[in-house]
Amino acid sequence: MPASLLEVRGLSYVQPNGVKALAEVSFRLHNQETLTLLGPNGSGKTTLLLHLNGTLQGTGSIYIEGLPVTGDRLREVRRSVGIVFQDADEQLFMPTVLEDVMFGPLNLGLSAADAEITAVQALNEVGITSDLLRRPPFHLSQGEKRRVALAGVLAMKPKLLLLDEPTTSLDPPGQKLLIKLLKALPQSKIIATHDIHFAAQLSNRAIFLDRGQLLADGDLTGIVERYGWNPYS
Amino acid sequence: MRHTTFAQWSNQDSIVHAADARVKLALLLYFVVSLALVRFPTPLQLGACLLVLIATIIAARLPLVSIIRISLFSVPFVGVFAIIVYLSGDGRRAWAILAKSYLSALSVLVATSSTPLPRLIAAGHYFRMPALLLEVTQVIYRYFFVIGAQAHQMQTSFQSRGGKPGLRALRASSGMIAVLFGRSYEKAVIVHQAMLGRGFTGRLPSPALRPLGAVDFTLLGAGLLLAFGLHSI
Amino acid sequence: MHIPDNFLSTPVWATLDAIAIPTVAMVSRKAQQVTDTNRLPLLGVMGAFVFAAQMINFPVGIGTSGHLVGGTLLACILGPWAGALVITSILLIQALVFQDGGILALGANVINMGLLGVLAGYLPAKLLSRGKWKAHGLFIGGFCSVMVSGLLALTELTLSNVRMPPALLEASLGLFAINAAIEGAITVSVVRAIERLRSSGPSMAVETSPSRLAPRHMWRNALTAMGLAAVILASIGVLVASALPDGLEHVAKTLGMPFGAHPLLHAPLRDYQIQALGTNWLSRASAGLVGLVLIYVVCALGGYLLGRGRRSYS
Repeated sequence: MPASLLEVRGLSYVQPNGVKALAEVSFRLHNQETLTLLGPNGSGKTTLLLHLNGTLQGTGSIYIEGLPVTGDRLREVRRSVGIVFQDADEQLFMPTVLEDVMFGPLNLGLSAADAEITAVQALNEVGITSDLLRRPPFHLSQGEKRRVALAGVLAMKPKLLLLDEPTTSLDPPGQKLLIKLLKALPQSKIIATHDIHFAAQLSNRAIFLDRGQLLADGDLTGIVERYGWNPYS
Repeated sequence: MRHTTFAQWSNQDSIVHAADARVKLALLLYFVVSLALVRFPTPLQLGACLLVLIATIIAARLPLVSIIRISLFSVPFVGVFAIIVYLSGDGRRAWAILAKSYLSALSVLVATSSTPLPRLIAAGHYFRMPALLLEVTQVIYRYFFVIGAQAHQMQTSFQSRGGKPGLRALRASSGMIAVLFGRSYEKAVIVHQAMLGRGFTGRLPSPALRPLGAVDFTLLGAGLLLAFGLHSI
Repeated sequence: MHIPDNFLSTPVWATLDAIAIPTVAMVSRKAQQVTDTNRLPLLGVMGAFVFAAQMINFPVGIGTSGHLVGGTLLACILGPWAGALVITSILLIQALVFQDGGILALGANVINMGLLGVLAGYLPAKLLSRGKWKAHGLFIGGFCSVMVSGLLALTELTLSNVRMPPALLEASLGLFAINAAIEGAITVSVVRAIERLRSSGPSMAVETSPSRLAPRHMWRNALTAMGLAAVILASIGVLVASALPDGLEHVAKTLGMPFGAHPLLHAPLRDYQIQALGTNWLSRASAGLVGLVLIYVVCALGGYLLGRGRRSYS
């Protein structure tokens, strides 16, 4: 069996207010594999993603390339796992596009010059043109913001990409572009989404989460049918 | 609205934009201080100052009419104070205050419209201003317009649903602020998570300013000479 | 309340700038120590929130509307040091980007609103933070912070020889009082709303009731409150000394205190000399000023005594 990139075993998490957000979640992800994360609102999808990059710590174990995700290894974990949140505005917190994408590489210890090269490279990858580099993020379209946020994460060269509802507020051309971009990226990906058609373009495996429990792990179309997850059928 | 124009203007190219932010701030300070120190500037001096500012606006390729229009916003407020002084019997002083205050405000506007905020912040670091103060300023500036837009939306909703002054209006406004707080707090949590996810170490990176060179000192000297010249007219 | 440039006389704005610079540096250091730096996003976003909230209109009728300043609110959410720092940041942006307030007058505005204003708001809220007194503490805090900021601004203007006709002075004070009351009311209602949020949703790591003080701190805080009141009284005293309504003058003469115009401050260059504050303008309102300050002192005292009474229930 090929060594997995990501292994989650018995992950549980109880929120500070006592609510059980995750209950014994276990699954594996391999290199260059894309996984869709499905489930109703409040089922724990975002909470799960936040565990995978070490932001939250629950009970159970998470291994990335065989190494555990624990409090003392957070720096390395964040190097290998990149997360793109739902609201782009909340991730673009620096005054200009270029500075924002440089944020990650600078924190990894690159020099300003190297960080800039890496950032520009990442921005090129996502199709952001050079005239936008010195713009404040506030002035970009939703699609552009989303791509800049993605670039900010790609600039750190992660092995695993986590995307939380990436198509929110994206117009069809924006979605098309995003699909094209994600298809071209070699990293393994976990995509939490409600958009089945979007998901189907990128992966054929899904896991279904409900009230913190992993109820199914397998073929995307099968799961969609089983849980009635297609709003148009 | 202000933000759009501001960000646009401060990111353009011109010789004024290209000048070092530290030099510009030093010259601005010198200008404002010397203006404040002259009790009763002659109309000639005032006219010369205005001409210099207009020349700077043109050299910076900023839209003259728009800048002048924005600079006039401060006049009513200043005017009230000036009227108070006038009413207390010191008419000459009232005019002097009005003219000087306007010129000061205009000079600040020109300086900040021709310098992108990140460079101003970097200049602040250079002048040893408290780091936490500057970083907080940067984040406030980034999110003020976003939250301001939300506030504006709420006010519009209030008005379009027939809101009128009165006790209910006070309750509505308090409610708006409470909602704004809740959304802002959640936003702060996610921004924090996004920062952590990209390796935030507690300090925001600041763009490196190139070392001061002969050009900068020449500009500084020329500016000081000019200001001194205005003083001695 | 943001004083523009060229209204304050040179000795006034220069002195205030000289005081403000090291004080802000100290506040920044203190804020850094007390707040975990990972809370930078919280400080910044809360600052953006307060700044945006300042734009919201509170229509009070007849064409005027009040606005939140937010010093007390921020001090309750972030603590006094971080709260003061954030207000200072807001003032900086307002002066530079919006030309709201002068840049030479920044020292004055920061001291009035960012430092003493926040302190005047925080202390009552902290001293009256127990149980049923909490809302009162918040209201008084909001009220005092706006009132103190306004009074200080008026004092600085008077020291700069901007003489206001008594009617105008009264009107300004009236306006300050209305805004101060609105500030108090909004502060109470927003803090209440925040607590409702806390109880119903996931935990928020903000403390909206200033933490209970250890007895030793209580004493130190009361001293600070006294010191603050004293400073304000002193600066107001100058204002009053220039006003001298007949009654006060008579009383003072009886006590044998000397009067008459005398130069307050000397500047090295003839051009910039401040003229003597004339005694020829009176104001019933200055008596009102004194009255307001007395109210503040009474509140602070009362809060302290009440707080001390509860100390034994730790």
